[in-house]
Amino acid sequence: MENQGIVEYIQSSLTQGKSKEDIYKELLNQGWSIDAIQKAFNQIVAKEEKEDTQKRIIRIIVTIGAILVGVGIFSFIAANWQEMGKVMKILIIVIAMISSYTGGWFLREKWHYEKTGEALFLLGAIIYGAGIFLIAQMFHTRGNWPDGFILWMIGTIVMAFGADSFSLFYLAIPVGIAAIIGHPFGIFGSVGGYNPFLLTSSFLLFIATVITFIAGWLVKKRLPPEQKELY
Amino acid sequence: MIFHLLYLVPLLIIGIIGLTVYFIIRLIRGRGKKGLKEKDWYLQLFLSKEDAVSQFFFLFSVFFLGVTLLSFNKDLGEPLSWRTILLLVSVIGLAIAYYFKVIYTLAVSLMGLAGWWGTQAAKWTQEKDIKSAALFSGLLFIATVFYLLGRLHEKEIKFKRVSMVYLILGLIPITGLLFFLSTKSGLRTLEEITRGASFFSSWEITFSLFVFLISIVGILVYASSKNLIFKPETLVIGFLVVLFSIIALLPGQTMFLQQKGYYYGFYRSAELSGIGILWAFFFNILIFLELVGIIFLGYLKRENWLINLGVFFIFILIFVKYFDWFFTFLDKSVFFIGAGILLFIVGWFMEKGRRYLLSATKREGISQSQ
Repeated sequence: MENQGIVEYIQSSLTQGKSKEDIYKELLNQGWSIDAIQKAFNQIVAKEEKEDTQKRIIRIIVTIGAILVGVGIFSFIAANWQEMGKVMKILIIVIAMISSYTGGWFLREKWHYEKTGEALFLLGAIIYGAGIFLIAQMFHTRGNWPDGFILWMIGTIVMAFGADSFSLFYLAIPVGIAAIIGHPFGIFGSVGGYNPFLLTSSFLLFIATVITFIAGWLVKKRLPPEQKELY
Repeated sequence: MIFHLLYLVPLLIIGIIGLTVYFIIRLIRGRGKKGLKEKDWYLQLFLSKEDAVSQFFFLFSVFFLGVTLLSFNKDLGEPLSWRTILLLVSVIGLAIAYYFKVIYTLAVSLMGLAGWWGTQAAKWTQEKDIKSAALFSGLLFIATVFYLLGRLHEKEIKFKRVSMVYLILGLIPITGLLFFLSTKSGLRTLEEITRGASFFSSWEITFSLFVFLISIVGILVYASSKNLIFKPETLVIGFLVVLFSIIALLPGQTMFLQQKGYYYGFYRSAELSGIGILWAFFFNILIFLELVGIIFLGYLKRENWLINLGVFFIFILIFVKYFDWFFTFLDKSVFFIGAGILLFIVGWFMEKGRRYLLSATKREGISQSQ
C-alpha cells in the first residue's frame, strides 16, 4: 500500500513536469529510502513499457489489416477492371476512399478507437493515391508520372491537417520522396528533342514547393513547448 | 501468366509503401521518446514527431524549389545553368535553415553550396587547364570554414544542433581526404592534380581561395579571442590550412617510379619514388595524429560522440592500412589469420581505451557538477 502511494506521488509529479532529480530529492526529504524510490520508478517504467507494447501490437495489427483490405480491393478491381465501365470504376474508387475516411473518423472521434481510426485514414490516403493513377490511366491523361505522386502528397498533407493525423504525414514523406526523385530524371532524361514533360508540371512543382513549406511551418508550430525554446 | 502476375504489382507497391511508413513511424517514435531528456539530445536526428515531420517538409520545399526552377528553366530554353540554380536554391535553403533552425535543410544547403563551388571551380580549371589541386584545396578550405563555424555556434543552446551539422560537414571531408591521400590511390591523384598551370591564371579561383583563407583566419582570430576554441586546436587548424595552401601551390610531383608496362590502374604494384615515399610517410603520420587529435578533443570537450568517431576512424585506418601494406606480399592464409588476430588486438585495445576515456569524462563531469 505504501509502495502504491509513492508510485502515485511520482506519477503525479512527472505529469507536473518535475525532473527525476527533483522527485528524488523531495522523496528523500520525506524520509523514503533510495531503494524504495528506485523500486517505484522501475514499477512505473515497467507499466509504461507494458502499455507501449500493447499499443504497438494494436497499431501493427490494425495497420496490417488496413493494408490487407487495400490489397483485397485492388485485387478485386484489377481482376474485374476490363469488364467495368468508367463510371463504375470511379464510383468504386471514390466510395472506397470516402468510406475509409468516414469510418476512420467515426472510429477515432466517436468511439475512441484511435489506432483503428488512424489505420483507416491511412487506407483512405492509399486508395486516394491509387485512384489518381487509375483515373489517369482510364482517361489516357497525358501527364508525367511523378505528377501523380505530387498530387498524392498534396492530398495526403491536406487530409493530415484536416484529420490531425500524423500517420498521414508519415505517408506523405515517402510519397514526396518518390516525386522529388522522379522529376529530375524526367527533366534531364528527355533526349532527342522529345520532352515528355508538360508546362503544367512546372506549376504543379511550384505548388508543391509552397505547400510543403507551409506544411513544415504549420507542423513546426505544434512542437512541444520545451522544444520551442530551441528554435 | 504475365497478366496474372501483373495483379501482384499493386500488392508490391502497397507493401513497399506500408513498410516505408512503418519504418518511418518506428524511427520517429523511437527517437522522439528520448527528446530533450537525453544528455546528448543534440545528436538525435529529431526530437519529436512534430520536429521530424516539419524538418522533412522544409527539406522537401527546398528540393521542390530546385526541381521547379530546373523545370521552368527547361521550359524557357535554359537561360540559367544548373549550377546557378544549385547556388540559388542552396542560398534560399540556408536562409530557411537559419530562420527556422532546421538541420536537414541546413546540411543539404551547405552541401549544395560546396557542390556549387566545386563544380564551378572544375569548370574554371578546365577552361584554362589549371591544376585541379586548387579545387581540391578550395574544398578543404570550405570544410575548415564549416568546422570553425560549428565551433562558433556550439556555445548557444539554440544553435547546438546547427553546430553539429557544421562540425560533421567539416570533420568528415577533411579526415576522409587525408585518409585518401595516405593511400597509393590518393598519392596517384595528388600526382595528377599537381599537373597544369598555376591557379593564379584564373582570377575566379584565386579570389575564391583568398576569400576562404581570409574567412578562416578571421574566424580563427575571433574564436581564439572569445576562448571558443582550444589553443592546440588553433595550431592544428593553422597547420592544416598551411598544408592545404601548399597543396594548391605545389609544382608537379612524381610520386611513382616509371616502370615498363606501368600504366594507370596498375599503380598498386608500382613503386613509390623518393618524393612519393616522403609524402606517403607524411600523410600516414598526419592522418593518425589527426584521429588521435579528434579523440583528445572529445576528451577535452567531454563529448562522447567525438571519442567514438575518432575510435571508429582509427579502427578503419588500421584495417585499411593492413590491407594496403601486406595484401600483395604476404601468403593469403597468413594474411587473413593476421587480419583476424589484428582485429582482436585492435578491438581489445580500442574497447579498453574508449572505456577509460568515457569513464574519465564522466568522472570529471560529476566532479564539476558537485
